[in-house]
Amino acid sequence: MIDLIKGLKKAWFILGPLYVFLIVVSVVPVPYDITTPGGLNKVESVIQIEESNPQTGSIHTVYVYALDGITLLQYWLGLLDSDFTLTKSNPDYDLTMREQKISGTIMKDVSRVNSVIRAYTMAGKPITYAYNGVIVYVTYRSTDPGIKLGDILTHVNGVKIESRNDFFDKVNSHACDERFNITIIRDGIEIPSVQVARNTHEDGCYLGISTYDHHLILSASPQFHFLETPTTGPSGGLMQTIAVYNAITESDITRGLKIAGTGTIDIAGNVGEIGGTYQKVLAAHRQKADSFFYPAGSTTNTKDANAAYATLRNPKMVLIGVHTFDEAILALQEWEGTDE
Amino acid sequence: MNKLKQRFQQGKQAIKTLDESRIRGAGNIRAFAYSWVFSFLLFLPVVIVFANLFTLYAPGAPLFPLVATLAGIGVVLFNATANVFYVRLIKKYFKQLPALGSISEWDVFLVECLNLPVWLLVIVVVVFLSVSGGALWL
Repeated sequence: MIDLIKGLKKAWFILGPLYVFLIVVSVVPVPYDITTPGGLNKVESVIQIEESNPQTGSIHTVYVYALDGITLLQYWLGLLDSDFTLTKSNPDYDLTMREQKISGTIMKDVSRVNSVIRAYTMAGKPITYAYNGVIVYVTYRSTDPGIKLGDILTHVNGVKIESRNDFFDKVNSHACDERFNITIIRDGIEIPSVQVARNTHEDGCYLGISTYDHHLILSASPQFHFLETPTTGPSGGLMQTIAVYNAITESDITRGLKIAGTGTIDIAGNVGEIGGTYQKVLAAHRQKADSFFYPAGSTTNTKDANAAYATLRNPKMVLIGVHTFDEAILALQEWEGTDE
Repeated sequence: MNKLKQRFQQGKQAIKTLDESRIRGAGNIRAFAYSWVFSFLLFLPVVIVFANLFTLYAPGAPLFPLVATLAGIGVVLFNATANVFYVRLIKKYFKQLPALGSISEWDVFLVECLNLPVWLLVIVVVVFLSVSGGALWL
């Protein structure tokens, strides 16, 4: 080995600095996140409906690659490539890779439950469900230590939480740093009294958690199954709802189309804001989707979707902004496509 | 072109000489192991750079075929460099075999750079991943 090193003595003077430079730029992290275009997933790989009606087209969610804490080299490439979006990392966000996976899975599970509830209700199919409380899908450095990722918060001072808004009303009725009790279901076990507070920080006082309303489906007909997938996150909500609705109703709204889109869904059918819209439009176009749905209620998503669409060469795909699930169904029922 | 052909033939002859020398034993294993480890250390920055690139340009991305092709060229060069180091060490460890002295390292490098099975493997992997899109990388 020493012989080999000695044999390259002269080359080290030339290659040495380059060697060190390449390692440094490829390893040193910068406080930025990057989003890059991904691809499409068929909804039936996520939710399966028993005895579903046949469809001639296909319905897809769109995924992107999101990297946190990128390297200097990736940052430079992000500046050069217009397909990528660089965003400054949130210094308060400190989930580990494992916690990020758990967080993303919670988001996905909530979105699937919401999709099934909304689709069955809209289609007039029998479904019963119960409200559990609010589920914590992200914790931060500033989170009160009494609360953990994945906790379901059910009561505040012994009073049942009726909704996410109700929860925040109850919490905000307490002064900064004032301790109060919450009831938590953690790993399936109820912890009746956990003392927490809206702790004071530089920019205000808060619990420091991100939450969703959490519902539990008790029964549904036809039956459905949630399948294991490596993808995570809530952005499949709208497309899942469309796919489930199409599977349990007689008429086929896909009509041979390749339908893609993004947006969260709640059980009332509202379509919510999502990240990576720019890259999702590019990914859907590359995978030859006929339509792309996005949350029109979000100014950011609307701006990003249109900006990405403007970069496409001869797009056949139609961009459709919707505020609700009902609007998406209506758009598909009235579909006329593009002029070719 | 003729000179290149000549060197390629010399390289093939060199590899034949290596095979015919029937080099065995601990010296051979040591030369083999050292040459690959050293080559890997030499190519380490390239490996890390490509690890960075593949996280940005995954299968399905328009630039993936280009990045994968460059990585393929890197694999071929890595293999050729490891072989050059192997020859250099073998010459040192087996001085009692005079036939080895006539082997030119650069001729071996040239032959290994044009190693058809390695190129075929690279092409198959690049084409397969490019065509399969992102399906394997969810």
